[in-house]
Parts: sequence; structure tokens; C-alpha cells
Amino acid sequence: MKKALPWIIVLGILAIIVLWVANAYNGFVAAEENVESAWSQVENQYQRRSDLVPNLVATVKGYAKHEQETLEGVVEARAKATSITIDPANATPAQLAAFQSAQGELSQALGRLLAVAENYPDLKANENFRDLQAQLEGTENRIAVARQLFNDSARAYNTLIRRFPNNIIAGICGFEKKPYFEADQEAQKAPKVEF
Amino acid sequence: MKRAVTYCLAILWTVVALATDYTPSSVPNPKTQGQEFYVANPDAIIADSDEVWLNHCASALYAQTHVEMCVVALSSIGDTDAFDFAYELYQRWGIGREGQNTGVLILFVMDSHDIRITTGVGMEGILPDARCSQIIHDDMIPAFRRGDFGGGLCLGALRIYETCTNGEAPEELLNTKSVTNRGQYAEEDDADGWVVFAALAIIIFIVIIIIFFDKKGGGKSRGRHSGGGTPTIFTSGSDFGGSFSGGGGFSGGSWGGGSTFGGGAGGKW
Repeated sequence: MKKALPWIIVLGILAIIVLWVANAYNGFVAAEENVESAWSQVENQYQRRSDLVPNLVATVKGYAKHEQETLEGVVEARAKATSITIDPANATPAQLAAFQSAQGELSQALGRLLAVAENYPDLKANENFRDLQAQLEGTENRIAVARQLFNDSARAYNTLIRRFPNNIIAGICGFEKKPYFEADQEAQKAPKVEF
Repeated sequence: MKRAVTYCLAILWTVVALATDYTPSSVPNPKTQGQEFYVANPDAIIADSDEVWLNHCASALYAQTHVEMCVVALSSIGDTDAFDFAYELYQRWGIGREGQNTGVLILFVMDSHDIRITTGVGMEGILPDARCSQIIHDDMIPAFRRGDFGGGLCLGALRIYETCTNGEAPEELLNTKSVTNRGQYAEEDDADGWVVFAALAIIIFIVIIIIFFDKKGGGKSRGRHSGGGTPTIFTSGSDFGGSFSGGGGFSGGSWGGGSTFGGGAGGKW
């Protein structure tokens, strides 16, 4: 029976290693789930903004028929922004940058539209327009929050998988580093609404 | 000379005390006074009667709709952006019931002339950003411009109450369900505590076997108990199968643990 002792110890150590690997793997999965859910929030908020655009364009058109160029710019920017989708499980920094850039262009186009609207006092007094402005500003705030939460979850995940010895398991199981949202270029900042 | 120094120090201290810039962690939480308190008014910007009214309004609103409405009036928050401050404060306190997230925070900052309404995730159906903006610009700002701060806040709270208790809104609010996301204030999920427990159990099992064999073979040396290690399993705080919310264990009240995505509206008067 004493001969079996070394084997029992070896088995025990193996069992501990297996448990530790399982624990680490589960940690990665949980962290990745957080990143994906944070991403879906970001997408959600950007989609809300895109959904506001048709109504906004229609309202402005009613008062500012001759601002065709600006209005068309917004419609085009929106189409481009909604056409880019990202799968957070496989996102590369380049993909995320492209997404962010397309959304940034929509921000700029919206900014131009709101600036143009300043010249039409009747439009500014229109209740629907005021409501849309408020919704737009609210959505921009939510986008900022969602991006911050995404970056936080991506950072937590990246830190987890890059630590030693977690990085060994992560490498074997194929957990890749996640990209971040970079700070917006000043020109791409969302339009701030001042009454 | 000594008197002059004392006076100077007294004046300096007063100036410093009055010039407190609040941070989200330094704002006094009204719930510490009790569950029926919803207003943080440390600088006495709101008159007593208005504060009493606001508490009643918030209590009534909660009773009918389970919406938690919080009013905070501060003299200064320094250079911090009002949106960021309100968001931070909302998340820190966890306004609104967990799982429903029907909470509203009204933040008033005197020196920067900021008024901000921040709504929880679950409020967006009944109290969308556009409605918050209307309340701010049509009702609250005109009152603030007249210097009636308490009155303006009361009027805003009243409008929120009216909006939430109008028609089918209360039922909708009572049945709202949404995902809570409190970011850094979320409780840590320790569902893998069982793994640690199992690992420790295996180690102890091995140690016991070693002792067992030692006893048989050696004879003279007495086995040492590993009792010193046992208590740590139970006090390490690992929760099996999920996280527990730790709030509410102290006297006073607490907010519901809800969260926001930064919705609502803001304005300057």
C-alpha cells in the first residue's frame, strides 16, 4: 500500500492542475462574455442614433428645403455607418477603427446639419425638432458611456489573458486580445446642443 | 499678534469649508438618514419646506410606481462635467430597483448653473430624453432664472411625478424589467469558489494520507493536525454559485441597486 503513495500524490497534483486550468478557462469565458455584452450595448446606442436620422432629416427638410447638400450628407453618412458591423469575438483594431471612423463621419454630418439649423428660427422653435435634438444629445451621451464600459470590459479581459501563467492557456485555447475605442479626433466629436 | 493669526486661520477655514467642491464620494447619501429620505441638500440650497415636499413627492412616486427619485443640490462640483458627475453619482448609489432600473436623479449645481436629469435604463419608455429636456427648459429653468431654486426643483419633480403616474404609466413602470449594469460598482462574481475549495480539499486529502502512512511506518512522531488551515476555507468569502448583494446590512436605508446608461437631459440656467 505504501508503494501507492507517490502515485496518489502525483494524481493529486494532476487533479489540482486540471482544476486550475478549468478555473482559468472559465474566467476567460466570463470576461469575454462581458466584452460581447458591452459591445452589443455600444451597437445598440449607435443604432438608436441612426434611427433618429430619418425623422430629423424630414423635419429639417420641412423648413430648410434648400439645404439639400447638408441633408444628403447626413443620409449618406448614416447609410455608411449602418453598413459596418463588427463581430466582437474576432474584432481587430483595424476593424474597430473603421467602425469608429464611419460613426465619426455621421457625427460630423449631424454637426453640420445642426449648425445649419441655427439659421432657421422657425425650425428651432418647432417642438418636434427640439425633441429630436434632445434625443440626439441623450443618445450621444449614452454612446460615450457605452464606449467607456466596452473599453473597461476589454481592458479587464486583456489583462486577464495576458497575465502569466494564464497567457499559456489563453494561447492554446485561442483567446485573442480585444481592441479598444480610441479617443475621438476633435473634429469627430459629437455635436453639442446649446439652447 | 496671536489674535490676528487666530482670526486669519478662522477666516481661512471658513472659506475653505464653504468652498467645498463635492465629488461623487463626498456627497451625503440621503438614505443614511432613513429609507424615506430622497434629497441631498448639504448646502441648504433648498428651503426646508421644499425639501419636505420633495421627500413626500418621491415617496408617493415610489409607492405608486417603484420609481426611485433622488434630488441633489450642490453649491459646487469644481470643474467636473455635470453629466459625468451625475452618471458617477447615480452608479455609485445605485438608484432604482435592481432588475428594473427605474430611477431618476436630478442634479442641481449652483456655481456652474447646471441642471441635469439622469434616468435609469428602465425609465426610457416613460421618461425619454425629450421629455426630460422639456421639463428642464419649460419648467425648471424659468424658475431658476427667477432665483426660485427650491420651487424649480419641486416643479420638476412634480412634472416627473405627473408623467410617471399618468394613464397606464404606473403599470408599465411596475412591470419594467431591464438588465442592471453597474460597471465598476457591480458585485464581484465568485462562482468559481468551488474550484478553490476542491483544490484545497485535495491537498488536505493528500496530507491526511501522508500522515496516515507516516503514523503506520514511524510510530514515534505524532501527526500534526492541519486544523490551522481549515477556518480559512470558510472565511475566504468565496460564495458558491453566484454573488450576493452586500448592501442594506446597515441601519438607515439604501437605494435599490439600479443602473443607468447616462440617459436624460441637461441644461444651463
